[in-house]
Amino acid sequence: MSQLMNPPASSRIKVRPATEREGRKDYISIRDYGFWYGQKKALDAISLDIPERQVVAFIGPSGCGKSTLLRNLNRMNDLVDNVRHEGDITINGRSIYDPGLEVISLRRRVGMVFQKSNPFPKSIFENVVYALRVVGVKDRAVLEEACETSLRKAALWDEVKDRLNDSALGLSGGQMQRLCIARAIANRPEILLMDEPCSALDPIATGKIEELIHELKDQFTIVIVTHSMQQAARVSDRTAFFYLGKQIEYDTTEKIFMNPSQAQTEAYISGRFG
Amino acid sequence: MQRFFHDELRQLRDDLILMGERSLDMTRLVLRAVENGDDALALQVRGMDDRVDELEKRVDREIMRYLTLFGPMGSDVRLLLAARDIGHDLERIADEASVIAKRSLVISERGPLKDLLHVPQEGVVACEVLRLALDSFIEGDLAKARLVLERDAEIDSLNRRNYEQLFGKSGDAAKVSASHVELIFISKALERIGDHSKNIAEQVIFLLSGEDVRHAR
Amino acid sequence: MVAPSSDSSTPRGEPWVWFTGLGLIVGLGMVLGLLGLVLLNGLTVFWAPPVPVAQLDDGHVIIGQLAQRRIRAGSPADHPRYELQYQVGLKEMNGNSYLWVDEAKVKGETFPADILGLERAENGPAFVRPRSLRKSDGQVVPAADPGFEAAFQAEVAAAAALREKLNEITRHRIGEVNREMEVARVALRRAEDLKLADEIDARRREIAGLEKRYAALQAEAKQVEAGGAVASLTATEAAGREVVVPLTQIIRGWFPNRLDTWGRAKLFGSRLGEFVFDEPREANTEGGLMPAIFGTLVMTVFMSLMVTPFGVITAIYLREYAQQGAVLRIVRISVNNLAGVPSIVFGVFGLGFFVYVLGGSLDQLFFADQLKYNNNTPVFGTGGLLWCSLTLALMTLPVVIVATEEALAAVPRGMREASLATGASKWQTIRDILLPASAPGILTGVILAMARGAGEVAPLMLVGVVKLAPTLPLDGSAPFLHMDRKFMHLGFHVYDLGFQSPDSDAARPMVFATTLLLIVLVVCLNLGAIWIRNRLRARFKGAAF
Repeated sequence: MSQLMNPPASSRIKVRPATEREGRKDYISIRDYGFWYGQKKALDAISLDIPERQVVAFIGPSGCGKSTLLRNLNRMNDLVDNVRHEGDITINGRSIYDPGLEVISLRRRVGMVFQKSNPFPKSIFENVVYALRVVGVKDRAVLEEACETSLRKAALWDEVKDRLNDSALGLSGGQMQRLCIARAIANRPEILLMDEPCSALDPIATGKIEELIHELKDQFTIVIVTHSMQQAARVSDRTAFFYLGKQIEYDTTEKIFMNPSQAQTEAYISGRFG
Repeated sequence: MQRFFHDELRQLRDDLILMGERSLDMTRLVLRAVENGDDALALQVRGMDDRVDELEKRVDREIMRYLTLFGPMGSDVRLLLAARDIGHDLERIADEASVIAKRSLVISERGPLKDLLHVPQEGVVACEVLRLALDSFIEGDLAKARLVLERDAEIDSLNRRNYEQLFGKSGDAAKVSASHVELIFISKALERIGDHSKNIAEQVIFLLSGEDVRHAR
Repeated sequence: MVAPSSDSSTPRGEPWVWFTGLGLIVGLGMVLGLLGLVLLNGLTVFWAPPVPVAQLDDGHVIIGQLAQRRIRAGSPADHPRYELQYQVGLKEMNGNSYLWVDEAKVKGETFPADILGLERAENGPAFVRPRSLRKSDGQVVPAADPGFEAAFQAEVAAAAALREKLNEITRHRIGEVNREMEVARVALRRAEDLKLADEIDARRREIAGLEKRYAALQAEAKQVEAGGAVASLTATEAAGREVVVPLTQIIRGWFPNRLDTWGRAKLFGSRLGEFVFDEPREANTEGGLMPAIFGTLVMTVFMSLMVTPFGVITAIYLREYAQQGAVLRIVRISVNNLAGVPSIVFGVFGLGFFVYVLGGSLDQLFFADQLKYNNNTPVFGTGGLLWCSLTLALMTLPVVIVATEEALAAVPRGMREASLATGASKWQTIRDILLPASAPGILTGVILAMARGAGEVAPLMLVGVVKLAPTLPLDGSAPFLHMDRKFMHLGFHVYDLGFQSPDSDAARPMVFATTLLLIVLVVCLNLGAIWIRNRLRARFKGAAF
């Protein structure tokens, strides 16, 4: 009862309120963006601005294009054959399709976490520092320090600090996903993309990851795709609702969930969709 | 595990307690204004009402936000529902205090009274009961909440005695002045403050035990 | 309530399960049967049974070890007549080491204790009755003397030591001088051709010095030989003729009718050891197989070392970099079909392309002097270890390519995506993530390739395997690894013994023994590779293979 009437404070880190954190309002800017898989149009005239150090959630029913849009932010869809796009996406003012920009360097500034956690079959340490090795860092001291920093930020350090050289595949599901997050932020990218990061996890592990997102947003711009509206409501500052490749509504999370402007949005969030 | 949004429940609770303290302050101050015929104090109390209204709107917004975004379960839901009603009751209490202040100003204008009937006593009991109700919420004390339900009868009887004394069989109709009428309004307002405190206590009992004790005969 | 349709005591089960089980048993049975046959025939060669003295009804006496018993050709089915094969030895006297005798003609057999079996350096074994032994100090010991056996074995050991010393002088030291002489002669001829006076003088002096060393070594060898010429054994053979055998000719002697089981076991072990570790004698029908084992081992290792990078790189290109389309499909089909080409075709290709074209070019580029001044003796333009390994590598390439492609495809897509999303380039992803994760699968492919390559004989005959090689491809003289040398191979040994041998009866047991050795070698190689693969699997727990 005393917990109910007098609950203790939660966060380990003091997270600044949204208005204080927000830097450049159009940090990631998507303008009239269309995308095709072969003949099939997957995204249609998407226009939205993602401000710096905010969490933006993409929600919508299956096949609405939210994952497609996310994967285009770091040009992962370049790996698929026979795709094309129109319109533009800029990050901090520079187009990601700029011919002078190497895709590899784009991906080094944008970290990605996937739905099914995919640690490499290497040690925990090697997993975390992979991003650093890829850019050529060899100094052991630098790598160890970066590893510790990343694992602390991912709230995994205390659990694995004594077994950094053990195989990463021996961790539990939630720990693996946090490891993947640590790996994604090791090289201090500005942006973190998360594609349904909790869908394979139990509620406790999901809660831990949501807490993590809440803390990380103090330093990173985070875009998260989730099929759980409740998750989007909990963690994000702004939410975009997509349907059949179109952007239906994009606004602050409170507005979307308490009083959306579009009837389709209202139908989706109240469960009357489909 | 404490989640980051649980902090917002903390904030809601704090705002509610602040509202309660404000309303109690208003009630105490306005009673002093009535006893001393202090117009300045009465005006001050009327100014405080705006703050309480603001707090009620803020509390409502927080409740709405939490319900929408964070999907509360179990005792968190009861807290949010109870908080909405408690907020309304506290706002009504502040309004009643404001009404008492207005009546006091009218009395001062129309002619101060020497005999305040049982109003001061009624006021003291009303403040005590409100304090009890607030404490039952702050401390999570079921016993105090139930005590509030019992003591509400005292305020009702004091209000009736005021009424009888003025308009009863033993009374002299000619002796009733305009100010006396105002005094009755004040007495009624205090009785309503007592009712709101009872509502608050009922909500606290619901919050703590899940039991709905409203409209008991 | 459903009643069972048949009696509960009859065994039920799907018939196809029984069929497949039966198939498995038949297959296993064949494998075990083959192994058993090889083991039995291969190992009995080394066992020393008692040796009878057989009296024939026409008065002849045979002293020999029983080798075979079979039904006489043409004997009636219900009343079979048998004939026996005795190993009598003394080829130079009897015409043949083995003798077939009609069993009915044998009147009786005795097993006298003084029968002595001899393994000789030339002309094969002998079974005799010793009369006397002349020791190296000149003393004569009669056979009846109780210390005869001990003295005899001592002399045999001394003779072995002497033979080894002689071998060291002739094979190694004289061989080395010969090699240096050849190099010097080539240099001399080149100098003469280019008319370099100083060089000519220097070379001539060098050759003179080498010739002196040669003469000295020869004298030393003669001396050693003379020292061993004293000891000899005098004995009578089955027909009563006297035989004098110098001890230096005797590799081993044993009294077959005097040995107990433990003695026989020790002899068995000693013979087995000689088989594996010694060099061959008597046209490969006797002695050991060390050079063949070594050659097979070295070639298989080299084949694996060559096929692995080629196969892995090709597979990486096919799967990761090549454009998916009709051309790629054709390439893949061609690679798979390569596995169906008969191995002798690879041998012909190896001979035509590797040996003549590549080898010839190498010789022209790097060994022109050698060619010009040494009677056109080719270095790489003829068969050798390098071309054998390459030919077999080419033959087993499809196996490695397919296994590597499968292993690469089995790496979960998520791992690839994770690596690329971190900003790694395609090559970094392949090098750091995909290859380590597919290492167990690649190794499976290498194991299969090794197993296939170690057993192939036909292509090797064309590109570098010989019946008898004077030197090993890996030895102490620089550059230590001689990729241009011809070498011996166990598989070829089996073919050679079985079909090319002048004395097929003597060779037959060796064929089985060699086959057994080849099987053991391949099994050891496979076990080694499997051990490595298991270690890798444990390290990369997420691997699919």
